[in-house]
Amino acid sequence: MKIFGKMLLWFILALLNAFLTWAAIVLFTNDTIELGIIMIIIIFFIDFAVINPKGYPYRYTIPALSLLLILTVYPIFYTLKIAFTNYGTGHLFTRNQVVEQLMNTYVTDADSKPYSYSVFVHMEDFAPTDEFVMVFTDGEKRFLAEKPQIISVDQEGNTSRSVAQYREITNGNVVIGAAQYEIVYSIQNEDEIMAIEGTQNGKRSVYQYFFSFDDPDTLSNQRTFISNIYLKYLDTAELINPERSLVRFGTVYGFRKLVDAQKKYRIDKELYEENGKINERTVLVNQATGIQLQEEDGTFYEITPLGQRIDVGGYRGYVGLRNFEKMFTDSRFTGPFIKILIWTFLWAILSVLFSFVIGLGFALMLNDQKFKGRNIYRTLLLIPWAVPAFISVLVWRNGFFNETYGIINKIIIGQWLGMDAIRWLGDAFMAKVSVLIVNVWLGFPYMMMVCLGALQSIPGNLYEAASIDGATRVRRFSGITMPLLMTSVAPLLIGSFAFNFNNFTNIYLLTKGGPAMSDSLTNAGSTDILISYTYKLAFQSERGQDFGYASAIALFIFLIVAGISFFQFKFAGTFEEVNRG
Amino acid sequence: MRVIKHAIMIFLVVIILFPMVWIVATSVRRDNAAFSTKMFSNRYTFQYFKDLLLNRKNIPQQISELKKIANLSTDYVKMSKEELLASFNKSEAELKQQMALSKEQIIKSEQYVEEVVAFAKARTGEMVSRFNALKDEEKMFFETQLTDILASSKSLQFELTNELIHSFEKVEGEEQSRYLALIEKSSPDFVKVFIETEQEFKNVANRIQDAYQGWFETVKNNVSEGLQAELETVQSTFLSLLTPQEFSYSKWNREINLKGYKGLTTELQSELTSEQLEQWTQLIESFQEIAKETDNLLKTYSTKKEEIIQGLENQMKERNDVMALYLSLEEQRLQASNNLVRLENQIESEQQKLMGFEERMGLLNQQIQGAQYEMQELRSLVAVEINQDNEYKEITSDNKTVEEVLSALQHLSETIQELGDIPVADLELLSLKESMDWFVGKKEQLLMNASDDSVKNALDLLKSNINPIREDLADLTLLVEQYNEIRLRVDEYTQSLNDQRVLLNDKQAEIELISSEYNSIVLERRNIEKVKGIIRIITLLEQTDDYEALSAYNGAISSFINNFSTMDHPAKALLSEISAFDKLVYLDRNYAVETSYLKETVDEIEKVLTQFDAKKESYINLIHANVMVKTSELDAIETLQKTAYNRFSSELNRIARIASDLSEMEAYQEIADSLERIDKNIFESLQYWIKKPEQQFMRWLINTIIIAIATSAITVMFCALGAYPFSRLRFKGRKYGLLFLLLIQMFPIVMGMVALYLLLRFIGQYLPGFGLDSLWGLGLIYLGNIAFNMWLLKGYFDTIPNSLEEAAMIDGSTRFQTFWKIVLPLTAPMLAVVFLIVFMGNFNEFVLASVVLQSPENYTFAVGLQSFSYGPYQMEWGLFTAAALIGAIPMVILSLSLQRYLVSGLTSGSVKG
Repeated sequence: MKIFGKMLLWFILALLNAFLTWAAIVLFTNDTIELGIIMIIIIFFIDFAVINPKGYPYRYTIPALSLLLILTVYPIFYTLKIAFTNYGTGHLFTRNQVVEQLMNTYVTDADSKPYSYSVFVHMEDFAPTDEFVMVFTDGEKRFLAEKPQIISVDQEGNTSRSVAQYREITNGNVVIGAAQYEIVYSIQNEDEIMAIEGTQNGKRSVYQYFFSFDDPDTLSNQRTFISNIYLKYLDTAELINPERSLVRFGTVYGFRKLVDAQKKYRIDKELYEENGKINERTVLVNQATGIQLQEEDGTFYEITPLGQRIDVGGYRGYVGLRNFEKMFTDSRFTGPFIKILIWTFLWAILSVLFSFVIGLGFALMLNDQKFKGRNIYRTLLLIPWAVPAFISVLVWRNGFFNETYGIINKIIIGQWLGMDAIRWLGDAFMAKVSVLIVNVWLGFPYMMMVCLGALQSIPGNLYEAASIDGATRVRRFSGITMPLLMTSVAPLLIGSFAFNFNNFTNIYLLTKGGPAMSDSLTNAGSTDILISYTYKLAFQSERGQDFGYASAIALFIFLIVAGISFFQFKFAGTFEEVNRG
Repeated sequence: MRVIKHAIMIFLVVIILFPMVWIVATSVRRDNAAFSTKMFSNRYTFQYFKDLLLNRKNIPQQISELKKIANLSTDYVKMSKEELLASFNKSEAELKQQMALSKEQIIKSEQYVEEVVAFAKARTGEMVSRFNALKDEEKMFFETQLTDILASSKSLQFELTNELIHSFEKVEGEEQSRYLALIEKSSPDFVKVFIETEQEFKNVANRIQDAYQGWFETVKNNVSEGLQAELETVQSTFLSLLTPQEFSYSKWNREINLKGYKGLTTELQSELTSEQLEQWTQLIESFQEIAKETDNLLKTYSTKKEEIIQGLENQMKERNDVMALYLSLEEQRLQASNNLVRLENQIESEQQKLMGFEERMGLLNQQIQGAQYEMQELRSLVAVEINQDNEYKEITSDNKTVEEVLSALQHLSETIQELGDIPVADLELLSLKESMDWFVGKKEQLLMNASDDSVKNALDLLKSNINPIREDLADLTLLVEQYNEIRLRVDEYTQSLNDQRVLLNDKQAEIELISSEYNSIVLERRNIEKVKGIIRIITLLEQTDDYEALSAYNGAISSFINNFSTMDHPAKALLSEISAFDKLVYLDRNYAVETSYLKETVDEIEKVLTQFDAKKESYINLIHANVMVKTSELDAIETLQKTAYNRFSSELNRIARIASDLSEMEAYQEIADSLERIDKNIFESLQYWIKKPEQQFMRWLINTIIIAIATSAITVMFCALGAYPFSRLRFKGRKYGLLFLLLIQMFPIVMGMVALYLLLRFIGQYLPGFGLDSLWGLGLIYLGNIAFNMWLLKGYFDTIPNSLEEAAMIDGSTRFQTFWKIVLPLTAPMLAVVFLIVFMGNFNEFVLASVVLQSPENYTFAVGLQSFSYGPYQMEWGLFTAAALIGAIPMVILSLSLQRYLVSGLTSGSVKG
C-alpha cells in the first residue's frame, strides 16, 4: 500500500513537472518571460520540497506559495520590468509587430477603377463548402483568383493575412502554378460564367456560381458568403500577380469591390556602426516617395516631401530610469505628483485619526454595562461598516453629494437652511472634505469595535485604584485608558493607515479622483491618491496610457507602504513574537 | 444623565444611518427620486423588487424577443424548427398575457373614475354659486383698477385710443361696447361715425329683407322645400355680411352673387313661371346695386376712420419718432459690434498665416545660411589662391566657366537686392550678397587664375551651388510677396476695426441719450395692453353663469397674471381652487380617451398576431434555412406599440400625477381614496409597457455567491496548510518568512492588473473556462489573498498547545495526520472567521472584477450594480436602490450576527498576551 502511494506521488510529481515545464516553454516563446521564470521557480521549489527530506516543512506551503508566486510575485516582477520601458499608448507592441503592421498597410490609387467580383463555390451534397475561386473584372479583362492561403492568425483566431495568386483569363482558361482552371460559359450568353472546372494533380473540382454583390438574385447567399468565406479568407487577402499590381478588399468598398493596391512600405537593410562594430538593422522605406522612416525614441516617423514628421507607429522599448526621473525631476509631472503624494498621506492620516476618535468616542459611551440597549446601538452603528462599500459610496455620491439633486443640497441646505448649494464634488477642497466624510463614515464602526474589545480587556480594578487615589475622570482616561488602549490598538491603526493609503475603491467610486487639477498633463485630480492616480495613468488617460510611468509609481507606493509596515513590525516587536515554539 | 446619553445616541444614530433609510425609502418610490421635492413619498410600489427578482419580460421586451427569433440571433441559431415554433408560441402567449394584465388594471380603475366624475359634477354647481356671491366685489375691484390706470397718464390717451380703434373690430359684444365707451372719451367723432355707419348698414339690411320677403310671398307656393331652404341660407349669409367689419363688395360678389344667386337662378328656372323669374332677376339686380352702394358706404367709413387715426398719429408723432430712432440706432450698434467681432477674427487668422509664413521663411533661411557658409569658405579659399601671386598672368581660354559663374552670381545678387526688406533671413541674405559681389568684383583675378586647379575646383563648386540658391531665392521671393500681401490686408483690417470701434462708441452714446425716454414710452405702452386685459376680464366676469364660463374667466386672469403681475382680487382663493378643480375635469375628459386608446392598441396588436400565426410555419421554414426574412407583422406590431405608447403613456402619466396631487388637497379628501387607486392602477398598467433595460440581476447575485464561496473555501484550506509549518516546524526562513510574505503582499494589486490580465489571457487560450471574461478566471485572481490570512491562522495555531500533537506522534501518527485530525478541528472557529473575512472581501470586490469581466451575463453583483448607476438617460434610482438592498441585506445580516468573531479574529493576531 505504501509503495503504491509512493508511486502515485512520484507519478503526480512527474506530471506536475511536465505540465509546468510545458507551460514555462510556451510562456517563453510567447514573450511573457516573467511568468515563465516564475513557473520555473515553482518547479524547482516543488521538486525540492518533495524530493529532499529536509524540505518537509515546505511541502505544506506548496499550494499557498505557488499561488503567491503567480499572483503577487509575478505582477511585481512584471511591473518592475515595465517601469523601465515606455510601454503605453503609442508604444504597445514590439518593434517586430509594428514593422509587420506597417508592412500590412496599403495605398490605393484614387483613380483606379474597382473590380466587381463573383464567387464560385464547390458544392457537396448541395451545400456550399469553403473551397472556392473568385473571378473579378474591371470591365475589360477578367481575372481568376484562387482561394487564399492563410498566412497568419491574430490572437483571437481571426485571419490577419492571407495570400493568393490571380491570373488573367485568356480563352476561357487560366493556369496558376500546378492548377488549371477551365471556364464554363453559359450557352445563351457567352459572357456569363456558369461554373469553373479546376484540375490539380489529377483531381478535378467543379465550382458553381454562388455569390456576387452586384447580383441581387444571390442576395440570399450573402450571409453564408460573409461568414464562411469572406471573413475567413478574403478580408485580409492579398491577390498577387507578378505582372500587375496587388489586388485586395479592405477599402471603403468593404466587401463589395476589389481594388488595386500597393504596399506602402518596403523593408531595406541598413548597415550602421556602433562601438567600432558594423551592425545591420531593418529599416522601412516608403515606396512612393522613397523616403526612409525615421526611428526616434521608440517611434517610427514618416517624413513627407514637405518636411513634416508624422508618427506612424510606436513600439515599446527600454528607456532606463526615465520614468523614475519623470516622477521627481520633470516639472510637468512632479508638480501633480508631489501634490498627490502629500494628499495621500494626509488622507490616510486624517481618515485613521477621525475614525479612531469617533470610534473611541462611541466605544466609551457604549462601554457602560448598565447602559440599556447598548447592544442595539452597537449593532446599529455597525451597519455602515457592514453594508458593502461600493453600494454606500455610490449612494453617497449620487444621492447625497450630487450638486443639484442630492438630498443634502436640495433639501437640507436648499429648503431648510436656504443657503446656496455647496459644490460637494465639484470644488477641490469640498471634494476632499466629502471623501473624508464618507471614509470616516465607513471606517469608524470597525474602530469602535476594536476599541470596545480593547477597553473591555482593561481590568476594572485599575480604575478603582486610581479613583481612590483621587484621579479625575480625565486623568484616569489619559493615564490608564489611553496607554493600555494604544498598545493593543496601535498596530491596527498602522494597518488601517496602510489600508487607507491604498484605498482605491472609495476614492475612485466617489469622485474618480475628483475635480481635475488644471495644470496637469496627466489627468490628475484633486482627490487622487497615489494608487488611483496610477490607475488612471495606466488604464484611463485619454492622453494616452502610460504603463511605464504608472509602474514606476506603483513601485514607489509599494516601497512606501512596505517600508512603513516594516518599521511597524520592528517597532511592535512582532519579529520576536514569531520566535515561539 | 442616562436620558441625555440616550438622546445623544439616538440623534447620532439617526444621522449616521440616514443613508440607509434613504436607500430603503427610494427603493419603493414610484416616482423618480431625483426630481421630487419631498424627501419621502407616499406613492409606493414594490415594482423594482419584482423586476429584479422575477425579471419577467414585459411587452416591449417580448416584442423584441419575437424579433430576435425572427432574425435568428445567437440564442436561437442552433434551434430546430420545432424549438423555434415553441419559442414563438411562448413569447406570443406571454405577450398576450401581459397585454391582458395591463388592460385589467385599467378596467379596475374605471370604477374609481366614475366616482370621481360624479363628485366633480356635484361640485361644479357649488363653485359657480360661490363665485356669484363674490361677483360684485370682483367687478368693483377691476373697475377701480381700470380707472386708476386711465388716470395715471395723460399722454397715454392718444395711444390708447389709437390702439382701441385698431382693435375694437376684433372683439364683440360687451367688450366692444366698452372699447367704444373708452374711445368716446377722446374721440367722440369716431364713435359717431361708426354708429352712423352701423345704422346705415342696418337700414340696408332691412331694405333687402323687405324686398326679399315681398318677392318670396309671391312665389312661395311654387318653390320646393329644398330650394326654399337654400334661399334662406343665402339670404341669412347676406345679412350676416352686412356689418362694417365683414362687408366688402368682392366678397359679396363671390359668396352671394355668384355662388348663391346665380346658382339658384338656374334651379329656379325649372320651378318658376317666366314672370316670377323676371321679378327674381330684377330682385338680384337691385341687390347688386345695393351692394355697390354699401361698398361706397364702407369706403366712406374707411376714409373717415383713416382721417381720425391720422389725426391721432400726428399727436403721437414725436413719441413714434423716438421709438423709431431708438430701434434704428440699436440695429446699427449691433451691426457695428458684429463687424468688430468679424474683423477681429479675420485679423487673427491672417496673423496666424503670417506666423506660418515666417516659419517657412525661417526654414529657407537655414538653407540660405548653409549656402552662405559654403560660399564663405570658397571665398576664403579663392582669396588665398589669387592673392598669392599678384603677377600678371595670361588670360587663358578657360574663362567660360568664370564668365558663366560670375554672371549668374551677378544676377542672383540683383535678385537679392530686389527682395528688399524681409523680416527673416535679412542678415544671411546680405552676407550672401556680399560674397557674391566679392566674387563678381574679383573677375579679373579669377580670369587670370582660371587655370589654377584649386580655383577651378572652387569655381566648379560655386557653379553647382548656384542652382539651389536660385531656387531658394525664387521660393523666398514668392513667400515674401505673399507675406507682404497679407501684411497689407492686416493693416486694412486694423483700420476698419478702428473705424468700427469709433462707430460703435458713437452709436452707444446716442442710444444713451434717448434711452430713458424710450423706456418710459415702452412702459406706458404696456399699460395699454393692461387696459385691454382688464376689459376682457370684466366682460368675462359678467358672463359667469356656468362652470365653463368660470373656467374661461380663470383662464383670462391667469394669462393676465402671466403677462403683468398678480393681484389680490377678491376671488383669488376661489380661483386657485378652480385651477385645481380644472385638473379634475381634465382627468375626467381625457381618461376615457386615453384608456380606450390603450385598449384599442391591445386589440390591434392581437389582430396582427393572429395574422402572424397563420404565416408562422412558413416563416419558420425560411428562418431556419438562414434566409433573411422580413416579418412585416412583427414590424407592424413594434410600430403600433411604439407610437401608441408614446402617446398614451405621457397622457396617462399626467393623469396619474394629477390624481395623486389632488388626493393630497383638503378639498378632495372625500375622493382621495379613489384618486390614489387611479394613480396606482395607471402606474401598474403602464409598467407592462415601459421600456425597461435588460438586466440579469439574479444571475449576478448567484455568480457572486458561487465565486465568493468557492474562493473562500480554497483560500482557507491553502492558508491553513501553509501556516502550519510556521507555527510548528523548524526550517529556514521560518523566523522572517511570514512577515516577508506580508510585506510582499503590500504591493497594490490595482497595478498588478496588467500582469494578471496577461496571465488570464494566456490561461484562457488553453483552458477556455478560466480566461478573461470568465468567472473562474476572476476566482483564480481572488486566490491571491494568502499572506494576511496565513498570519492570522498562524497566530491561532500558536495558541493551541503542542502537547496534543506530541502525544499523538508518540503514538505513531505522522505529522500530517496530527495536523489533519487534531489541529485543524481545534482551529475550526478561526477557520470560520477567515472564511468569512475572505468571503466578505471577495463579495464586495469590484475593481478587479470590472477589469476581468466583460459580458453582462458574467458580471458579479458589484460590477452589475455599477451598470445601474449609469442608465441610458438618467440614473434609475429605484432599481439601483432596490438592487443594492437585495444584495446588501444578506451581507449585513451576516456581518452583524458574527461581529464579535470578526473583530476578535482580526485583533487576535496583534494583541499580545
